[in-house]
Amino acid sequence: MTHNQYDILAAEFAPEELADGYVFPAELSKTEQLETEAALAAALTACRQAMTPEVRLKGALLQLRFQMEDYLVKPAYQGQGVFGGYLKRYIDCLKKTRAEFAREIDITPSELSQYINHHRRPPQNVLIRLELHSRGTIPATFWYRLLEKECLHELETNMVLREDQAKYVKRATETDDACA
Amino acid sequence: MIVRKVYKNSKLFVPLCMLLRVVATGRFLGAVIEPVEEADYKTIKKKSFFFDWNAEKDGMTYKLRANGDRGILGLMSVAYFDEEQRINIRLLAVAKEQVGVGKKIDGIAGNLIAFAARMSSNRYGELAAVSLIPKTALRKHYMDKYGFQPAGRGLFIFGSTLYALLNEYRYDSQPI
Repeated sequence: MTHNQYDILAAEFAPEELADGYVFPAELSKTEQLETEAALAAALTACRQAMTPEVRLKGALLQLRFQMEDYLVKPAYQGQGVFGGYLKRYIDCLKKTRAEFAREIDITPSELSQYINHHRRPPQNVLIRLELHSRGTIPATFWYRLLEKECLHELETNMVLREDQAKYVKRATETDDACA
Repeated sequence: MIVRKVYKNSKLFVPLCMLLRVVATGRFLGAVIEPVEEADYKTIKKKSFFFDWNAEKDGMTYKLRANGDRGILGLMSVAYFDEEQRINIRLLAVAKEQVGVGKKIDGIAGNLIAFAARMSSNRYGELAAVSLIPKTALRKHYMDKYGFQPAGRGLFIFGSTLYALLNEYRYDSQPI
């Protein structure tokens, strides 16, 4: 975009309208570009050094939330133990021991270990405790949907159980299989 | 209004629903942000989106459209700066008919900037940042509207400001 083109838009729209509609291409010399990048890097370094542990934790939890969201909306299945994997990462974000975390949500360390290692499915009250513990950053529904995704995959792919259960179905509906 | 999450069958990218506001009624409208595809370039006209978007083909360019409508309402091109854990917004344009007093839909640019914040948060976690290099005359407006902070000729959002932006343009019923 040339400066003239910017002027044409500026004649038509007020600055606040332009800022609400456009980010214009940066037209900087090489030196200006380097100076700008250095200024951004310095400002970000200063901000990061001044970060409080609370802001840091929020950022880490948001990253976990977004990665969970992306996994949940994708059709790809990552296998059993995804719930436990995310729970482990959640505890890592907190920088606490498993025993400390278990205490904070009032479960035993062995119960927590069973959830992490896919030996036991957490009940809904535990999922809600996880939501409350993160102050809503990771909703209980996200944790539930991780488990649900595992169940759906198991239901879809468990051929052994299908074969085993076939003997109990004495008479199936009579449909034209060619239409299926 | 219930905003539904949708996905297309791609393992590479998950389009996300966000919220736009219909100016006339004040009601909210679901929006989807997803990568620009080759076929889109035929429909992206300079008259509506001003910049030469063909020149952005090699980069990461995203389009925003209303849920259930294929018409593009906004475009954004970004670049990753991994060493500095930031995403830079290179270019952004809202469809011309949605700019200024005559616009029918509000929040297009905000949603695109929030989407850049989400990408940065997803990639860089607690260190996530978004930057842009503004025209001098628009600098104050980006700061006032989106909470950008100055750094030389550039602007950036980071930390609590970035989280606030994500919350303002959240795309589901679960606040962050």
